[in-house]
Amino acid sequence: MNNESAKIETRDLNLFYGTTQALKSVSLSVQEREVTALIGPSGCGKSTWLRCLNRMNEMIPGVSINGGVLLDGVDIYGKSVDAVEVRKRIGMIFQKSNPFPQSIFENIAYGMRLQGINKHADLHVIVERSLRRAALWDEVKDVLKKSALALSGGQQQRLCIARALAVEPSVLLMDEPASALDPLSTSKIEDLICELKESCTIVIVTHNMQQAARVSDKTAFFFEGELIEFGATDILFTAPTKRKTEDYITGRFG
Amino acid sequence: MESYLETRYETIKSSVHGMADKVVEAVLAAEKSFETRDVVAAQGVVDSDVVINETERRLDKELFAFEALTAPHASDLRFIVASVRIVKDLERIGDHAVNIAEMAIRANEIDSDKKSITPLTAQIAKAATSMFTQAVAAFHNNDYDAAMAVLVLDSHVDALCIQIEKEIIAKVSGAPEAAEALLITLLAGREWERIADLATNIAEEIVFILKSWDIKHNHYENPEEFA
Repeated sequence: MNNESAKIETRDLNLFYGTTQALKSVSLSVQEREVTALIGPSGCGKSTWLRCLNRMNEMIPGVSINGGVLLDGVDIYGKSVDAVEVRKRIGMIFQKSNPFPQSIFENIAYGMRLQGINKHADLHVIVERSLRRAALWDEVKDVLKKSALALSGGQQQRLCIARALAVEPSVLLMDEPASALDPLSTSKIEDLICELKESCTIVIVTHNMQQAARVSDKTAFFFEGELIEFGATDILFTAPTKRKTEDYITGRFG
Repeated sequence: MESYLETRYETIKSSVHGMADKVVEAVLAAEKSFETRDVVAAQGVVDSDVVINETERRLDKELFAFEALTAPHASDLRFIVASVRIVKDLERIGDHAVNIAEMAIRANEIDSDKKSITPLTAQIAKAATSMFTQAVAAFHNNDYDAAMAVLVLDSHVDALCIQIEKEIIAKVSGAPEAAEALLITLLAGREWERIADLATNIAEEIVFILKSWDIKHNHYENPEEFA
């Protein structure tokens, strides 16, 4: 499942939490400007695999990782590679939105200031562009000084997406980004995913199989730390080749 | 223990299979009534069609609701999509059985000594009935090989239908007084040919359910190419 033209890929990736192996030799390629969905039962390794893509697991005590994780062909775990630089290029959106307790404007400007951009006019351009890309601008353009915590759950999640987009990542990782949202907010996030893939490579973990089917180009099914099946979403959801995939997506698991 | 979803799926599956069995009964009765001019059996086919029609309406609703409420995937999805089409084909086969039964009733009035029946008429009835019952058996047993076996029989029924047409045209010119009875025989041949076509459709749907291959329109020789 490796591919020379992959945007991001893992090769024989193994991950252990202490002595427990959470990922077993996972080789998987994500193509540029595609949405790849990861599905599987809880504890199957999909979120663990996702977090390997921007070096988030290495911060957990007792974790050991071996195998390759390549972004544009370069191993992001290489000794000369800075994890912070990796995370600038690979943004992440979590299940629970996590806006800073600051204004809407500052939520996005904060990261820019850390990068040395301080002119208000420059910051405003980036804030507006990011909010527009996250389909939030029209709803907040008149209240940019308002606390981000006053936004609805769906708006907060889109603000977090805008914040991630501000640094112009080439890959966006989403770990159940809509699982806590109502259907309307979920629909907005899904529309956003479909728009963002024009400029970004997206990997999304979801327990909502209809969501995976709606938004993704390719789907990977994980089970007990192994990649069981990976392929075009329309094929995987209509004619999977592996029995375990069939059993999982038809609800006959276990 | 079966899950709620599995129970619901099995219930709807059983209903579709049950409809297929009802239509098999109608087709077998239609074949017998035409061959033997059994008016009582023929009327039974006509009367039972209302049950088949109502079953179609009920299953339309149930399949639609199952799709909307459970969002099936993989083989479940293929079964539901194929069943929507199979149910429609079964209802049409039921209608053809009624047409044949009505022809049997009329033929009994004008040709009670069965002069218009020829060996070819019996052959096409038997061949089409056999195709349909084999298709339904393949559906019940999830039998890919049996479904594929149905498909190759269709050209034989088509050929019989053409032979019957030629035979009837030749007979009518020599016995114009028997024209109506002969015409009924010709039309019955066409009804059987349509039943065979619809049995072929059902066999193709079984292949779709089991393999996810779309082999419609005579693509059964190399089915893997249509995966």
